[in-house]
Amino acid sequence: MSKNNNNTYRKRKNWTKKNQKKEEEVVKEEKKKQKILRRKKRQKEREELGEKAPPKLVQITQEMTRLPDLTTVVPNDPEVLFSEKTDEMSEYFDKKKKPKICFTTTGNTKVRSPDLIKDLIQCFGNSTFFARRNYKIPEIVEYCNNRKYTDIMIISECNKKINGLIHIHLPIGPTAHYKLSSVVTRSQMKHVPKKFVQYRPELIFKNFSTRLGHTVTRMLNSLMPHNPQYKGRRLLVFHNQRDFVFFRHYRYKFESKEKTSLSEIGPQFTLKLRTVQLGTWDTNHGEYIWYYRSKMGSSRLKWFL
Amino acid sequence: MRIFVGDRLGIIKCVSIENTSVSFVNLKPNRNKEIIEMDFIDQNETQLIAGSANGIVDIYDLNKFEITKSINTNIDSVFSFKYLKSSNRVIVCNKKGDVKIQSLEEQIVEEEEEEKEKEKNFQEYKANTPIATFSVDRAQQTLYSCGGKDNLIKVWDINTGKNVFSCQNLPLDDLGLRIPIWDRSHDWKHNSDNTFVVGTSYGGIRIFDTRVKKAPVKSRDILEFPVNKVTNSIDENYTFIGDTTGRTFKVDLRKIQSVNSYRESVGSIRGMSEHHSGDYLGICGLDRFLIVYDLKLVKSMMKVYLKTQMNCCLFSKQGFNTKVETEKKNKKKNQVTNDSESDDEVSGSSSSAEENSSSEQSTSSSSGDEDDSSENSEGSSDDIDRYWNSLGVINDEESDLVSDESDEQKKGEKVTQKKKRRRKKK
Repeated sequence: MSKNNNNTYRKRKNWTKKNQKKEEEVVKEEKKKQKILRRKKRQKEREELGEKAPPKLVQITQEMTRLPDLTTVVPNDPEVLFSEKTDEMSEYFDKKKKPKICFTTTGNTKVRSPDLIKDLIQCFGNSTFFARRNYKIPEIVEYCNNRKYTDIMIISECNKKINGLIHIHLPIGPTAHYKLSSVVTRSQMKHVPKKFVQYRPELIFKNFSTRLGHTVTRMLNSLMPHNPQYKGRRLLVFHNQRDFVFFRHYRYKFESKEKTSLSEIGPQFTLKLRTVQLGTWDTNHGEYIWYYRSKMGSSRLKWFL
Repeated sequence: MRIFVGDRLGIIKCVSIENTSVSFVNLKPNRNKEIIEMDFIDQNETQLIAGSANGIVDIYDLNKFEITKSINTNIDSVFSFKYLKSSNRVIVCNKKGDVKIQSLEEQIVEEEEEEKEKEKNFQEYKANTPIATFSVDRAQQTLYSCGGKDNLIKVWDINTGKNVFSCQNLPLDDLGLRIPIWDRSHDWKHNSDNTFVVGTSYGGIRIFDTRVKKAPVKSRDILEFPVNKVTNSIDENYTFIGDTTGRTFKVDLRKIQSVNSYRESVGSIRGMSEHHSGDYLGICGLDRFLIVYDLKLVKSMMKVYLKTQMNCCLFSKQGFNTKVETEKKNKKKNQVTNDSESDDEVSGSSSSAEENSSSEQSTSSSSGDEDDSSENSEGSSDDIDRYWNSLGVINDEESDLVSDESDEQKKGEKVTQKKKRRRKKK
């Protein structure tokens, strides 16, 4: 008797699971049909009315319902303009200095980071790679200042994955600490040219609206030389959405007067800001301009860049 | 109430708390002229003195917002600045250790008597190692103290220049190692010549007493990040501490434990000042925000965005607190009158006064930065009219300011009229 009861119990379980799935599929198909019927109604009404038709419906996204920020920059603000004229990065914008970059790693890592560094040296010009042999970071800052470098980039790695990025602006300037994720190097991409002529590219920054965003764009601007060559048709894009910064490297081509096409060269990765410091890199005794904490104003619609 | 704020670009701003309006005292920015500290000259607060990183000291007239005097002390890269009220002199300090005292009065100099008058006006001293902190006695202003990295704090006399007191380190560790030294900020207690509180850059707090012994009386490590600013409150037993990442704490000095924490600012803290009644605290730092806290409710009253990085702030003693006191009295009346109106509201709370007050506080905490007064003052209309009319008699007798308070009373009446209309529509 017990065995018969067990068999019937199992049969009923599987029977209910299958029927549940069937019922859910039927409900989904009905919803789709009704959605298509509503759309056709609206199209008919718009054709009939012509110019007097009501405007199209817009989907409500999270970016539309973002909490308003107090620190958004209003154009032509005299205080902001003066403070940016006499900034630490103002010498680059006055065309007095040219960038010179130094790449290193944390520890003696050899697994994944040399691939990224090769691509970045080809992307930015006028840069060299040095191996890290138990030097401390304040010593590295001294040696680079003596040889007139302008920027230091340090890439960190853990468990065969690339972790983070430290960007130090010399001689006094601010440092920024990012978190790297979803890195794709050129060897992993298809249909990528092996070599390309290094004309000076053009830089594009999208959707940085607050005061913090302005300082970050000024720091990233000082990596490339100031006057681009439009003959080379190269682009570097930093796109910001919901506090994530996406980096892409394109080359464009005009097929006709109305159409253009993009082809991707170079690596791609995403950044997220962690801290911004006043002086050079010092975790023990330094002062912070912005420090990220996970419980800081906990709401999904509050972003800082 | 008013607060004065000094920038890193050389601009001084004046913020009023009731209106949340900003007005400029100085209009010409200059990157070399960072403002380091400010102080009032009179008790009536008509003149303001400010020291900058050039070595130039300015005196401002607050009725007209103009500069009346500027004095040049020939020191580059000034680190700290203090004003001595009793003898009308100014102390200026350098990072290397040069200390200079100069008087503010003008004197006619003749060619023969130049050397004698130089001895009266200028006094220079030298410390041996680089300086990270500097402050002056609060009771009688006859002592100054300075210290830095690998350099314990020492106390000197102003007039003679001799050493009065020097500190001593703690005894050795459990492993037999020496404890490292880096004094980053210190402050003397109110109305005392004897005790001062020191904050180190390893996150610890020490208390010293010159009458008892050279080693610290109490010491303990609290924080993970270095302590950037220490100010003593008017109570003898409490201090306020500022971090380099933006956190501030209120610390009990008998046990060295934190009692309250204020966590709204994001950058390192460089200026703190307390109101003379002991109820409000103003904080400014590198993240370009000015925040004022209410100390009894432990909540933020006001958060203003000023567009540059700030160095120092000052509370003014003038100003009769009309709006704040009337709102506190309105709360007590509203707790009594809300019993009859609770059934009409949509939230549908019960008739006890405690639950109404708790629900009001929960709504106010969810909305963060707005004032508590705007949400709690929903009492009956007749009682509010009688209260405002009765207040008009009291305020005219006791106030000294001319135009600010009359405007505030008119605004208070306008607020009640708007809320009458809202309730009629419902």
